[in-house]
Amino acid sequence: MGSFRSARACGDDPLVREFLGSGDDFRALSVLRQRELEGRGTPAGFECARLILGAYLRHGEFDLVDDWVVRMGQSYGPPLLTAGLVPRLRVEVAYLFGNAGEVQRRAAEGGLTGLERLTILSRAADRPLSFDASDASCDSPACAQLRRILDDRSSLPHKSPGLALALGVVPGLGQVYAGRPLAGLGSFLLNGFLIGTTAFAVHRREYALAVLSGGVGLAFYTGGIYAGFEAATRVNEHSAEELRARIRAVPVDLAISALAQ
Amino acid sequence: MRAGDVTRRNSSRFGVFVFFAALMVAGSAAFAAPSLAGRCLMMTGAGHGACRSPAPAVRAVSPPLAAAAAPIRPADRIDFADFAGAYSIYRLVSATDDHRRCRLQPTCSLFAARAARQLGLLRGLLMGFARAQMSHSDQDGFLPQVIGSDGNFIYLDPVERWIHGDL
Repeated sequence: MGSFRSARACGDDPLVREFLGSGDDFRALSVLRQRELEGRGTPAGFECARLILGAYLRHGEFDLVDDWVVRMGQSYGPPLLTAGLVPRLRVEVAYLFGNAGEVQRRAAEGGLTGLERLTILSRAADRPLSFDASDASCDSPACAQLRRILDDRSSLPHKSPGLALALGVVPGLGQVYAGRPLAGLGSFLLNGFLIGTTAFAVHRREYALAVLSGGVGLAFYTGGIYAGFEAATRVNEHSAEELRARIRAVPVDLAISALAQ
Repeated sequence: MRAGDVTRRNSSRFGVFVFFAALMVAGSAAFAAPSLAGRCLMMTGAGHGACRSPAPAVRAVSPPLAAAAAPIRPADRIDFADFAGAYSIYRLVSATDDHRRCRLQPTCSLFAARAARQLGLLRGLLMGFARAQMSHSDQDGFLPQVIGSDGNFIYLDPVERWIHGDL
């Protein structure tokens, strides 16, 4: 990627500099797209394409990045864009998307090797709680950091949704187990009131009231069981999100970042 | 009071219950079917089933594009539009407040209607009753929050958040 650095047509364009300098990437992109079209296939056009790629990446527009990488592969070849780089870039885009299945599919489709790091990291980020730490066996510093993160899993809160479901037989107990005592108490009182009303109505042979409060009570009772399950699942999902953020923050050298600079 | 009075009183109360139940069903049916109601309850602002025409079974596309036509999303399934209009009636009654009372967005009723639309009636109802009993807070930072019109926080908890993948 050395020869294109001399061509600074797009980077030196006063309009582009003005818009990029003021943070107006939207207008900068419209100028860049025009300049790239004019210089397509040339080092100047490639410089514009790199700036466009960088702008899309900065804004997290990964679908546009994906599309633009393919277009760059169609318009530019060696020495500007190394042969075989585009499939690797597409794998990296899938990694940035956070889609482990797509990373593996694209890596297999392109017949790429040496992407174990990305594959392992994306799989770990996909299922951070159930990912087997022994699968993170590569030797790179990224994998070592991943293993440390996975070792910390035991320190994060974890609740069994199945146990919460079973405890939900007593209204509100599932939520208390999941760390929501007030919601559990509210659920207990509500269900107690409805069950009590139903029992009272049956005792007084007020069957219309019994059917009404019994129906509503049954709905709230089953809903309370589900609420305990959901609350426990949320505790685990919260932990998973925290782990996922830490795994995503593991520094990885990406060719797409180098290209977009 | 004679012994037969108790039975008579219970019978009359059951009759009142049946009357109101029949009234609710009839009213709900009128709201649920646009052809019967003749208008949409746009004032409820929920884009509910009564105001949305069902997705066509087959899309009208030209033959070359037929293969690329996307299948009908299961999210658009309509088996019982918004609890047969009960949601619309509830919104008409509850729309008199200046500020919202529920601290969750969407509110539990709208959440149940959306869940029923996306996941089926039974699961939607179950999720609605479950959500009404859950903590109406940010749940230790799990739910993102925004400031409502009354200056208090509203916590975002859509149906999608209830669909968990493998962890």
